[in-house]
Amino acid sequence: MEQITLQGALPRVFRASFPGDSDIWNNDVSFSRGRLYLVEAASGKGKTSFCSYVYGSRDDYDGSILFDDQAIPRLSPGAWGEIRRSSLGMVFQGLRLFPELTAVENVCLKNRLTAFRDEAWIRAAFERLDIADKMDAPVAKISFGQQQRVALIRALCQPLDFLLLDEPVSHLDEENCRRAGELLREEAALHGFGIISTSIGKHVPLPYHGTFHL
Amino acid sequence: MNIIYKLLLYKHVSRARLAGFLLAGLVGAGIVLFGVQAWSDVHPFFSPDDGFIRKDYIVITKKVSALGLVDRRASLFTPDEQEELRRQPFADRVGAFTASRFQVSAGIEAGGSSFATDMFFESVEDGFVDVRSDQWTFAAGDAEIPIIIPRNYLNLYNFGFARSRDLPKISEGVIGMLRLTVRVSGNGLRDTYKGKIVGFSNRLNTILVPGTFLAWANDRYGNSAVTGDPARLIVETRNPADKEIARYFREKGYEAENDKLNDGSVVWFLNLLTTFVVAIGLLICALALYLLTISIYLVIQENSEKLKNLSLLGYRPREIAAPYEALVVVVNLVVALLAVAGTLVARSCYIPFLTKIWPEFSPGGAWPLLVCGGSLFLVTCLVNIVALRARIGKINAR
Repeated sequence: MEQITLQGALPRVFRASFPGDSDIWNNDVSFSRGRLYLVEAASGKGKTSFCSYVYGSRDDYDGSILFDDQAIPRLSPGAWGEIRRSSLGMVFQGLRLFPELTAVENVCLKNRLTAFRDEAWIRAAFERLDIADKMDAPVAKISFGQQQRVALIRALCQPLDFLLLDEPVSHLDEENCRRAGELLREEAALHGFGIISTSIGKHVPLPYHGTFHL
Repeated sequence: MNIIYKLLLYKHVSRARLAGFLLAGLVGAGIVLFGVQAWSDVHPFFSPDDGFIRKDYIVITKKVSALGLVDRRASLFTPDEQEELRRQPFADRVGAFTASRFQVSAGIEAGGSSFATDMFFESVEDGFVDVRSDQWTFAAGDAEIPIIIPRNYLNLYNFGFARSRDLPKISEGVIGMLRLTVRVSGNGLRDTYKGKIVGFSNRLNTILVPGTFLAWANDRYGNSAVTGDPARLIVETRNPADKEIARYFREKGYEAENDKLNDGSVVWFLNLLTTFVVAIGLLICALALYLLTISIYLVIQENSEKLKNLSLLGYRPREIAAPYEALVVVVNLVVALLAVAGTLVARSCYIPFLTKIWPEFSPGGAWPLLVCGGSLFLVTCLVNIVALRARIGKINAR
């Protein structure tokens, strides 16, 4: 996938009272593979909706979203499975980790689908993000900031064209924020994928190519 | 343990619910399998193809009434009556017993002493005779008459008379070596023949000689004043349980010799009982299946957020369904194996009993049990898996 395009997309809840001051909603916007984007907004502007629409987990919007030339509502559950393991990744705001599994099991649950990373890479990633000691801890027992880093590692366990990040560092301190940014920048450069990161204030330190206001 | 199995099954599937299904499934499948296996073991006794109870042939007579003393013809079947019987849909073939119309006596001479008795002969078309012997022929001028007697007679002698008198039992082979002296007289003629017993009939309760002999002898010695109409007919039918037969006979005042007709109702009752038992078993199976399906639905519902997350990670519906499918297959397999094993144990209890009451009993294979158990397993798995995939597909759709 080379391009994600939004054509006049607008959440249906905004239909009645949309002020028309968004770079994305009700506009034609394209995101290209290999480039880094920041989507900034105050609360309630629809950041999570934006990520959910692109990731295909919700479709309560008008207008259309296209992957290259394909309109995404036409994709089957099986096709979404394929896209989500080989092309499009996401770190959810709510993380969607499985609390009863350990941190490393959560990562492996994704990696066994793609077989994209080996054990050494996963261990190294845990070390880089300073959570190596939590690898075998149940996710329910670690802090939200630590969980955010587990979710980030999990999201990198697949071939990517685009990675969506929904407020991925909201609970990280400056140092960990920097580490996360570094890892993401390296991986994006190495594999050539694009990043679309949303933020209400604290954002991942990356050399962004473009910034949008929702 | 595979992570996804740990995630979806471990500690998430209620053991009590599983145990409930196991028990219900076991009872249901056990009843079905036992019903089918017991039926397939027992029904040969009542089957027309088998020799134990012959129900293809019904020998009929007219009711003997006081009127018979006055008019002997009243107990005979007229050609019209025979023709009408032949036209009935249940009658595949009708044969008439021809009786001897001359004096017969037969005797044995052994060791200087002799024993003789007056008797009679009957014949019937060869197609109705259940003894195959190449000696079963007679041509005018032959000195030897082949004779078939009911096996009952031999049994009566061996198990009744011989035992009470402490006489030796006689085998069929020994009887075949006996030569009877048959004296035939009538029309002023008196001749002596050798009689040879060539077989024993289970079907025909009479002293049988070849039709060719009787036709020739009736002509030669017979009292032409006695009518040639038969007093007994034999009817071949495909289904002796046919109610039409009983109705027709009742209407005409015919009597079936011995209770062959009742065998039909025994078969009917056996079939009804088996159907009933198997139907109850199937019902319990269906309920158990429903229980398992509902339990799985419940687990899926309880874990719907988890399933949704898996789908967002890129798991396809099939991959999410796989652990549940594995569970269903294992549980159904356990039920099927236990039910088969239980039925085999039950069978090993009733087989010796059957062997005791029917010495000829030779148990068939256990294949009806295995085929039925296998199909039950496949059907339950199929139903569960189809329901499961539909359910998971729904959660995954968005």
